[in-house]
Amino acid sequence: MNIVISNNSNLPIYEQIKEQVKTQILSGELVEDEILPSLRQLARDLKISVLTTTRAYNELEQEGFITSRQGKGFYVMSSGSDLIREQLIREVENNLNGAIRAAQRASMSNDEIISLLRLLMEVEND
Amino acid sequence: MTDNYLELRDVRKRFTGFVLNDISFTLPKGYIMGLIGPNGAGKTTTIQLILNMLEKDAGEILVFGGSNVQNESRIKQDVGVVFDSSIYVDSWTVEDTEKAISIFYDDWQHDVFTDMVSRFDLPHGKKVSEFSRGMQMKLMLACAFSHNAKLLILDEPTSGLDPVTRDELLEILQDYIKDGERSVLFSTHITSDLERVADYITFINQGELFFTGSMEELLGKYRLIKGRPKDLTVTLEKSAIGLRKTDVGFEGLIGAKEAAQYKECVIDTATIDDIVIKVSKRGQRND
Amino acid sequence: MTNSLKMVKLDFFTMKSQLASYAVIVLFVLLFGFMGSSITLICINCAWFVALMSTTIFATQEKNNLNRLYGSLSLKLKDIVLGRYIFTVMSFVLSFIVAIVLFFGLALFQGNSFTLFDVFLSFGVSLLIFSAIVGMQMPIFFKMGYIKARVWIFIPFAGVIGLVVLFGVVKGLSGIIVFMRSNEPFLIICCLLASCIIQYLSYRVSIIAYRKRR
Repeated sequence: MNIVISNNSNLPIYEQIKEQVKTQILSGELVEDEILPSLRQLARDLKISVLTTTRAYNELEQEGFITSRQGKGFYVMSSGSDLIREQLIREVENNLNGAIRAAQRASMSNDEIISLLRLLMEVEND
Repeated sequence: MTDNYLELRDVRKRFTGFVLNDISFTLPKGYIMGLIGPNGAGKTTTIQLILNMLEKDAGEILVFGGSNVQNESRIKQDVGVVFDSSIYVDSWTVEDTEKAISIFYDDWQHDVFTDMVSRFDLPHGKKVSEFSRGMQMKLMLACAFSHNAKLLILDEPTSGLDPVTRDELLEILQDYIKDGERSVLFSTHITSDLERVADYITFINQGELFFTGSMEELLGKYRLIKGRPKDLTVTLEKSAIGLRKTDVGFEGLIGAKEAAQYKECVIDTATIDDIVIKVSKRGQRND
Repeated sequence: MTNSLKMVKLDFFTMKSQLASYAVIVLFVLLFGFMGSSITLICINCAWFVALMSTTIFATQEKNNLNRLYGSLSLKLKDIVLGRYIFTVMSFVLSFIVAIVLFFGLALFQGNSFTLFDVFLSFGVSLLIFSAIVGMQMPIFFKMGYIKARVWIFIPFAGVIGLVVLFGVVKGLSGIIVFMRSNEPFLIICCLLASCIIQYLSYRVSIIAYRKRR
């Protein structure tokens, strides 16, 4: 598992950890049933407080991405990458809805919206 | 064995000209607590009370679940202490120090001591008075680690130390609590040391307890509010802590929930230093 | 009790580097010995000298701020005070032994002789004088710390010397001394007993004085 913390980010440290863990689950860097570093080891390695890593792991567990096994530690859940994908798709929905509303206010037609979307996707892929 | 290694309940101590009033906080096992506050706030007094170097006027202090007075001798077998300057006799060498200190501990580990002395590069045969500040601190640390202490109390250990040594110390402390069975109480006015590493914070200001709880709670509770002179409403002026007014604007500390209503102002996260500075200014006349 | 003994060991470690200053006793003994003083007189002089020296541990304690060290160790108030008393008496006993040995050597050299009884007598009398001075000094040092107490220590000295002069001069009291002289075993026992009582009382006072300081 790789974690890099930025002090200048707007995100609190525990959020950064969560994001990076989720990204790695999605990309396959973290596989199902893989064991994560212990709370204290992670805190030690990142030079942050134990409560911070505890919060990150607890929230990841609540959200269903990882699970804790008594006496053994935290493991990546099998459904992890599906869950993340679901979350991200919901994010896309929200963003698209927001874009559509803004477009309507700007009096753009549906066709204009779709061609703008296509153009942007081309730019993104380059 | 209890889960709370240190517990203070309504501790009070009066001196002429200074009162430490109703200090209560709890340090569970396995965590680091920072004890912060401006100079003269009462941090050292609190530590002296915990160690029974001073008699408290009121309240209870529990170490490892037992009274710090009744169980004093037993408790101190498991407590390591580091002060801001050498507590040993000037003329002692590292060897003398071990010979003198090990007498008092049932569980003295010579191997651990020797290992730490070489890790810290402490000179043999040289008098403690000739050590640098950093080496003096490391000697106290080596002794504290060599009797299996479960609670480490440090009173301003980093004042006068260079950043490299301060960083070394923080790493050592994080290693120390890695097994979850040991705790650290770290008093300092160099709060940047604690910013990332401390789990809990107790903030004492002018003898009063201003805050105790997790670091996150503290940082989440307050915000820095800045704005133009005309944005300074009467209510804001009353509720802002440590308000600083200039011709071009103002700056102060305010509760996070309250901050939301002031939409014209800039709301920033407050660092521990911001909080300590602003709270120390509270009660002083604002110009 | 064992913690008090640990405190005694700690005191010895604390004073380790200042051992040389006790070597002045050697000079003392040789000087007075050459002058032909009796063993008793030499020991009496050693007694007040060691009593004076015994305050230096308080000085070292204050200079090195050893209260913090004591605070971090398993030492209760009682252990610190009792340990200090034991240390002080032991310092006297060791100095006494050194003085006797030196005197013995000197006596051989000078062709003098002295009896074991003289030794006991010297021990008794010098212990009494030592205890009287130290008994008054210790509570003062425990209460006020070295720097402030330094000013006041002349009182015990003046007091004891005054008493000695008193015993020597006042007619009625010198009668007691004559009686004692002729019953020397009794004198020795009185001295030892008195020393013990003085030390014990002084110890109780010191405990109260030291507690008040916190």
